Amino acid sequence: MTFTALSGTALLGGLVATAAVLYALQRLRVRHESRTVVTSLFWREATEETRARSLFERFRHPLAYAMALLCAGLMLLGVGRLDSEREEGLRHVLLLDASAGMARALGETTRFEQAQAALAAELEQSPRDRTEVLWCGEHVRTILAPGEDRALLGPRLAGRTPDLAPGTLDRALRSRASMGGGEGAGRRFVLFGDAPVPPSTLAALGADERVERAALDPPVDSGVGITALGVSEPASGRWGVVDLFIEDRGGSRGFFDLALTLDGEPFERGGVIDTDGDRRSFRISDVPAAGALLEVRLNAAGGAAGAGLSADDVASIRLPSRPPIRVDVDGLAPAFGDAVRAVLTADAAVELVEGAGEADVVVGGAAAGRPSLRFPSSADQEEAILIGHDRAVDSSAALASAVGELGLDRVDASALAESLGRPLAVGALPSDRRSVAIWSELMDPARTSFLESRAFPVLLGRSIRWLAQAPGLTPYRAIGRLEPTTLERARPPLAAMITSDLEAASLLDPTTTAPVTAGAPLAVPSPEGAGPWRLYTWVLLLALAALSAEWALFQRGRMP
Amino acid sequence: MIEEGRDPAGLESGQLFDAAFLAAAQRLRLVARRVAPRGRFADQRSKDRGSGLEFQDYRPYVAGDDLRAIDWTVYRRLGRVFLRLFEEHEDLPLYLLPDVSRSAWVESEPRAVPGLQACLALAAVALGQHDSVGVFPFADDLTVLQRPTSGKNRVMELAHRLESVTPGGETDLGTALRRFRGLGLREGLVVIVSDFFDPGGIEAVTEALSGLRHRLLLVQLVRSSDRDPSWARGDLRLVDCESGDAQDVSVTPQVLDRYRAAYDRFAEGLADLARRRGAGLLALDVESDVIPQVADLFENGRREV
Repeated sequence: MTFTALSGTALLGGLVATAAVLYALQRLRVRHESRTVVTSLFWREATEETRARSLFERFRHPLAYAMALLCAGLMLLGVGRLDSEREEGLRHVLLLDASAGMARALGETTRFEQAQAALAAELEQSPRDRTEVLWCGEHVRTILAPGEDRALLGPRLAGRTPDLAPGTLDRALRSRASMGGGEGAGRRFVLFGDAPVPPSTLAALGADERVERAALDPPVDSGVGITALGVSEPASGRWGVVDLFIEDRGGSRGFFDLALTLDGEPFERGGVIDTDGDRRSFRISDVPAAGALLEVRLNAAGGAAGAGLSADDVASIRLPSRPPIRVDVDGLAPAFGDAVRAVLTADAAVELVEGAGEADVVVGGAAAGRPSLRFPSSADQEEAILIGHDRAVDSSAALASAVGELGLDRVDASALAESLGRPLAVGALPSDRRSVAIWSELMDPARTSFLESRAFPVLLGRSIRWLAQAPGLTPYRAIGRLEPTTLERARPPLAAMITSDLEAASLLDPTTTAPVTAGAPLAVPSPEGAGPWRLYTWVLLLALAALSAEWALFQRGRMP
Repeated sequence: MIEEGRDPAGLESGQLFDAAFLAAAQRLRLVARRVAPRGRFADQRSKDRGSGLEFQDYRPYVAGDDLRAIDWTVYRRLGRVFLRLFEEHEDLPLYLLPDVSRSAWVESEPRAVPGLQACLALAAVALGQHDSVGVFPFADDLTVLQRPTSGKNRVMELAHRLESVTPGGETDLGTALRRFRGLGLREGLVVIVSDFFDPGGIEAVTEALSGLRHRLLLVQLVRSSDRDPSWARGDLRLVDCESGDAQDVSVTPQVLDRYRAAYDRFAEGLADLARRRGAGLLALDVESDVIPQVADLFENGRREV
């Protein structure tokens, strides 16, 4: 037995208060109905002597009091929604999926509203003091704590819409499972939404815990949305342009098309380069990397896009800005000066300028306040290649990073060491300005063949880019998939503006927006006790019967 | 049933009397065992000796006696002069005392109406046999509506007088009968038509009747709800229609039982009073026809008082 509307303490207090009030009412002098009679002679004899008027009179009707207390008690039990508990002591955790996918429109309603209705129905059946409701949107929040009145839930959910974020249902489940259930006879988690629950999460639950999923209407597979958007280095190798990559889901059914705008101006979307199931990939080559905002919108031929969920029908990305790197070449030794100048001239990313004041990078000589690529003598520098990196970075980390970033891994160090007759070392030092210093002997064609190697232009070009701190490109943001260059962020925030000067993407996780029901099949909450004939319904009927009996007794003069 | 706030009103014309009622009343006969002396010549046997037809006794002749009354046969046998005495036939004075107190009027069907009808029926019987009838309505005091009078043709007049009766106040039988005794009327038959709901109870009724030197007939106006107040339930403030006294009652079966017991004690007290006084007692159900109930008083159409 449990009370789904009142706590046990409140009910006990209510019963005591009711008994006290009824007792006081019984003792209060009643207000008599005035009737005129032919004579009061016999009534006077039939009753006791009239007592002096007082506030209270003798407690004369214990049976009537018991009857009234029975009626009031039964009504209180009914109001308290006395119900037969399915499992004694079980704690109920109701998780409302408030992820973006729940915003999907289903005719006149939404998936989220369906879940809310199911939640309210389940809440009616759950014991108030052992039931909590969690909001599983972008963050997990408790919206109804154990013991709170269920009437509070409506106002707290009023006007709320799902967060444009992936579901945290799984996270909330794991979190609650890790917290333990405390005292009690286990816990029952009921999910209201479509977010999948991995088998691993179910396996992490305790033996006395179980997960059920509220039965909602079968999800309508909208399956239409933009799932990936990004830029990449241009296949053409040109500087100042990028290649655009777009992927959508469901658009291949023919009812949807992609519309692109670049700073508000229509832009040709390019052609499909790949199709995988219901996914389509587009690539647009050599888009000017001038910092414009590219917006991609999924339009339906018939009108509404996205088949109900509009949040993933649009995505935008801020294209990178890649102006030419201005390089001042000065003071180079004649032995390799022409070769260096020739490589820089051939590099589309480099614009040679006169004067260190206008340059982003100085090659040859050191210029105060400018990153520089220098060629000192081996007598002046112990390491063959010495990197001056930002002070915020650890030297060993900077060195490890530079191996790839500068293309040092492509340099045949053994052959060069053999040519020079001495070992080559690579070092890194913290510095106020970035710098790369390479032995001039290494560049001497009379002593090494480095200028003729394929590593030379790579090293030179990447050094210039590294020195100019040209931002790298995140090839694409495909939500739910690994970012190639930022491995530590395996799953970036969804639907969030990427606060970068270069990029801004707004994509939703397909696993969030799609009506996925992956994972182990979950039990559906038992309909036991559902319907109008709940225990408290019987209690109310019993109260009604008691009231009727009292009325009948009153009518027959058996009840004062 | 008492209508709350009802103001007692008198009778409407023709409410008491109709031809069938009178015809039914005239089939009855009220016979007195012996009426008081010095009455008017009529049909009732009297204690007076006189010139009646029925021989009663002899007595010695004294000077001045009527010579026509001498029994000459006795004189021839005994040589002494005796007078034959005959029973005198005189009238029986009938004094009707209808209760017109407020309690007789407040109900939706006032019990004063059958009470007055009973009075009229008895009056019609008495007038039909040349007896005299006087009407003295009472409540807290006695009034003289009709001094004793006789004559068959007085019935209509009496009916009109009865219709002119107006509701009185509180019942005070003691005061009313004291006033009646003060009228110094010849001994006759006093018929008290009342509910006898004197505030003093049966004791007050007994005391009031104790000094009455008349033959007595009590007509108790009863209603079924007097003993079984089925309307009474719950918590009531019962207001006496005459005194205005309020009595708070929580009606329970036990209270109802005690009420019936009190009523039964009252009724038995009244019956006992009638037995002790050698008076007649008629419990007249005001919800039934009056004449059949009044006729029950008269065995074979006669009632000896």
